[in-house]
Amino acid sequence: MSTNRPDPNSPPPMPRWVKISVGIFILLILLVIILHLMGFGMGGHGIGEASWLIAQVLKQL
Amino acid sequence: MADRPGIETTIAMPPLLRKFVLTAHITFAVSWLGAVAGFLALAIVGLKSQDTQVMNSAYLGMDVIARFIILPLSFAPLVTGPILSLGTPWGLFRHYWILAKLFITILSTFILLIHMQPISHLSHLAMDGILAGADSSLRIQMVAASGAAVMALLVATALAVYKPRGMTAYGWRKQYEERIPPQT
Repeated sequence: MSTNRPDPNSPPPMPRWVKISVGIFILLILLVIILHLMGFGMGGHGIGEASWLIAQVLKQL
Repeated sequence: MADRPGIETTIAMPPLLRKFVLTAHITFAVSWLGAVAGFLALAIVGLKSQDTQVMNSAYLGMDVIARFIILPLSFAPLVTGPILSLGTPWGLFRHYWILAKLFITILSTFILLIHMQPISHLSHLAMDGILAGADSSLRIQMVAASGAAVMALLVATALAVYKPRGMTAYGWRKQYEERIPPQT
């Protein structure tokens, strides 16, 4: 029997899988922003420039 | 159910209509995933092939698939999904997994729209027969973007199957309101 019973009068906390997913998404957004600031701009082919660079990095690995 | 104020209003959908919309939604969503997987296969063939004819054919095929299959299929779940969720007790904003699916669908459609111009550009180069001399970065970009899209759509499919637990604050409030009848 759990002693940590949730308060029935307050909404349930955000599940762990949502927190992890939001974290991964924020990291990906930050990666795109950093790549953009490094000079791999979004001009020309849009956000696709970032995915191109990721592909280049993966190719090197 | 429909007389309380809020962001969404769920309307009880007749079982026959619900099954029809569900069938359409599953068909559109899974076809979208399949079409993007086909696009990825062509993008890899276009990138790796040494034969100019094969390369040109791959990019012409990618343009046709993107324009006439992937693009309509990306908008279809945006229509059937909200209809289905608002027509059932699941609601559109009550569960995190439904919100996550909606977010993935909107983001994937947005990224697809951004990539439509480069896809068309590659197709024109292929048509003019000057693709072989073109910068390969755009072709690598196609593989990376469609690979990412396949992953995102797989996540959306898995969310629909597993339906992970987690109710939003809005969903919790609506459930609470439905349990306790309003005081008059």
